[in-house]
Amino acid sequence: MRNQKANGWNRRKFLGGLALTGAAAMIGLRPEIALAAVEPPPETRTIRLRYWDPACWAPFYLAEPFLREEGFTDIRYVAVPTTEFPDAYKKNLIDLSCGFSVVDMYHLEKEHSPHKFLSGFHVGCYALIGSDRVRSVRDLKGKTVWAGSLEYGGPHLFFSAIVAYVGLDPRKDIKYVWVKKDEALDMFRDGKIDALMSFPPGPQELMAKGIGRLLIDTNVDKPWSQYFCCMMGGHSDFIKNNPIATKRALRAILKSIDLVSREPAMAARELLARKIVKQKDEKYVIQALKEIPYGRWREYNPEDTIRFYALRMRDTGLLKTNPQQFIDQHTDWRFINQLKKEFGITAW
Amino acid sequence: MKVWLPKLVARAPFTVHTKLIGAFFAIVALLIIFGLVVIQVLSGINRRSEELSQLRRKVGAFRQLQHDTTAQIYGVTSALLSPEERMIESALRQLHEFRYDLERLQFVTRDEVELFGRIKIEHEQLIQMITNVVELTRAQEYKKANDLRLTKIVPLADTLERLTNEMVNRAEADMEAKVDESNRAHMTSRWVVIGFAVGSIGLAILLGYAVSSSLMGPVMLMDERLRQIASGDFSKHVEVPNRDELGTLADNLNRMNNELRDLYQQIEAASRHKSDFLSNMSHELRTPLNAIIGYSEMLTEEAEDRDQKDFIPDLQKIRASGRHLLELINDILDLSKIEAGKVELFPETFDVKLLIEEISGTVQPLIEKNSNILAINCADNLGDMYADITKVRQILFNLLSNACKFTELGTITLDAVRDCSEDAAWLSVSVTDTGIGMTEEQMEKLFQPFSQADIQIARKYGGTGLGLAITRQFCEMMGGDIKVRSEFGRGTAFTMRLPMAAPHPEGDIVSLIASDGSSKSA
Ligand SMILES: Nc1ncnc2c1ncn2[C@@H]1O[C@H](COP(=O)(O)OP(=O)(O)O)[C@@H](O)[C@H]1O
Ligand SMILES: [Mg+2]
Repeated sequence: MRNQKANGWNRRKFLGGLALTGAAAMIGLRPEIALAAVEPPPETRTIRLRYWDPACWAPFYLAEPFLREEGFTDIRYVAVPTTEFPDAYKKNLIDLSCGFSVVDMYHLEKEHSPHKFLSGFHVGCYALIGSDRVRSVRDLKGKTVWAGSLEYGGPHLFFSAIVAYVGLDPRKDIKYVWVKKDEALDMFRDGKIDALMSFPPGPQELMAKGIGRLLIDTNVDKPWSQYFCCMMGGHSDFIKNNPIATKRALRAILKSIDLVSREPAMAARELLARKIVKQKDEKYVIQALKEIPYGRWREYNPEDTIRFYALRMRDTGLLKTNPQQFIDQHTDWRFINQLKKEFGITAW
Repeated sequence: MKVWLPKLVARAPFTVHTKLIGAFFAIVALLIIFGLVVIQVLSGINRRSEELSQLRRKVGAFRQLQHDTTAQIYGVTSALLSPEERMIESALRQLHEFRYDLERLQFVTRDEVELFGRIKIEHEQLIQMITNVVELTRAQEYKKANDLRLTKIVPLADTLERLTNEMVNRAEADMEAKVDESNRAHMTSRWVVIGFAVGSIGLAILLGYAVSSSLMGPVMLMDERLRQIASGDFSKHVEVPNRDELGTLADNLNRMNNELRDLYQQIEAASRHKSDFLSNMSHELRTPLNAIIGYSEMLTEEAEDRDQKDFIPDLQKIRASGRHLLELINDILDLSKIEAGKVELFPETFDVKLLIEEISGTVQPLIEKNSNILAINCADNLGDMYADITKVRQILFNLLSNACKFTELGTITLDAVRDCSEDAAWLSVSVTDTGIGMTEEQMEKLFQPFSQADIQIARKYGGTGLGLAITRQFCEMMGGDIKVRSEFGRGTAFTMRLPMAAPHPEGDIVSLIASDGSSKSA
């Protein structure tokens, strides 16, 4: 099924590509393109990017025209579900990915997945929604919670960090149900679940329907809103063997982030057109893309995100390595630091 | 290792004293090193806890700054909402506090100059903005003041918060790293301490073992060797690897062994020569003596026949002296044979009672000579005995003749019983007299060749002092023994014990004991 999806992606011509490049020019991203021209060409013309269903990864899916500008001719999107993420790197199926930092960190240590963090991607997007019986996060003690359909997935790990932050033991104090998202939403409506931890489009729909109360919105609630949610990473070998390609690809995706941040509605339409999200979710996707503060990648220090989550994960025992060790082993900020200057960023 | 280490210690060319001191110092050195390691570990723990408390101070300072930033924004907002001089004053006051926070931060973040620099710049901007807002408020330009607050101060405060958060995270991450380091250090120091403890104990045991076995081994070897020398075995040398005092001692022991061996060989040879000489001599003496005795008897008979009675007493004296001399020579011959180990036993079966009756007949003249009375008490169950009858006869004769010799007008009693003890049957014969007896002192010298109770006795009673020596030797050869009880002036009792069945020359002892079974049960 994954292959089918990937092939479907490849067969599909990226019709909006040119139009988006036009848009990029329109919103004044040309100076970077000019810079790209004097740089040596990428070591490889082929690049394989991960894709899966989260709407927040929109800039990744829409980066194709920018990647072409950077000299990539063979751009492939490979469908990789969360469960197969570490394997995809181990089997060398993908070169670049974006993913929820906590999950990636967990896999890096647990599965020895051969990849490194390269840059921040976006802030927020996850939300913790409680039923009427729950007034605060600490009220969740002994309650039933849906935190994703599988253990140690993104929602579960993020939820663990959030409850551990206020002193609950995510393993002992919470009862989990591991069901599919739609079933979980039904159970929540029926009062069988006390809280939901989810990324868009799920929370937006519930809030719009006035079901439940927002306990934590990681887009705005501190400390979570002060750190990246999803981050970009690359295969260690790819980074090592293709430094120029890595930098160029990163630049293309950063431009794409800026684009989505400025044109969330257009980006949402593209996601629908590519059937990455369902038609029925359109308005929630647009809302989500509008709410996600994509511009923050210019302000937040990605290393501090890793450090922060490493601290939180160590609190819950999900990570053994200490933060600095983890940063030393699993991150490579050389590219983003160079690009930072190009983009005129001084915030970190 | 068990073998080579003590050997190595033994071979080391140092004195035992030096070796012992050396082992002692090795152990002391280990203890000192162990102590130093422990001190090192403890100071490491101390250093890390100091570092941790420093980090805690840092986090505290960051939090203070964050708190004061929030308070500052709150102050400015309040001043805007109610622009009284009191509020404005308080907002300005807080700015001072702010500067103080920064100074504190500068102090605790000496190692993070870059990040602190950024925070400082942001803060100075913030202070500038706040001053502007306060001034605008004083000038009653509320709209401008509020705009400035919203567009500049709030985002700046956000950035600042993030920066200070980053510093907190860094400090916390440092703490985690320290915790890890601490755990690792704890593990290593634990293993180091355990290792040192085990090592020290092991080494102490090893050294103790090596040194003590390098000392005790040779001592035991030499002890064993001395035991062998004492039992007359000079054939071996003691070999020790030591090159210390014990080595010298072993060399001396070997030298002593050799000297003793030579001496022993010389003595043995001399003794052999003496025995040979004696037996030759006795033989040579006996031949003419027998001739003398024979001729004196012949002459006596002839003198009787020719009725020349005057010669007879003289001839009888010659004959008696000759007989006495022959007895003496026989005794000497017996003793030298015994000493040369040439005496053999010829056991045979005989009736004990008959033997005793025969001997009592033989000693009758001796009994009568000193007007004594002989009483014989033989148990009914004496039965047969399997032994060298000649030797038994000689033993009993010696005891009886001594009793006759040292008793006058007294009674000599012979008691013969068969007693069954120690799983064997024994013949026990006591010869008791009522004669002169012996003192304790005299008894001590008994049974030694050529020894008589004292010189007076020797003069008065004659004799050679060989009889009892031979008697005891015979008794022991036949597997028995002889004991004496005596009271000076009252009498003496000799008791000898012999096994009823001497070891059979063919080793067939069982049949005899079996045939004795009836008497035994009786
Ligand atoms: N029945 C005895 N009463 C007292 N003294 C005895 C008796 N038998 C032996 N002795 C002492 O033991 C000594 C040694 O005796 P023995 O060996 O027979 O030698 P000898 O009879 O030639 O003197 C005697 O000289 C005597 O002093
Ligand atoms: Mg005698």
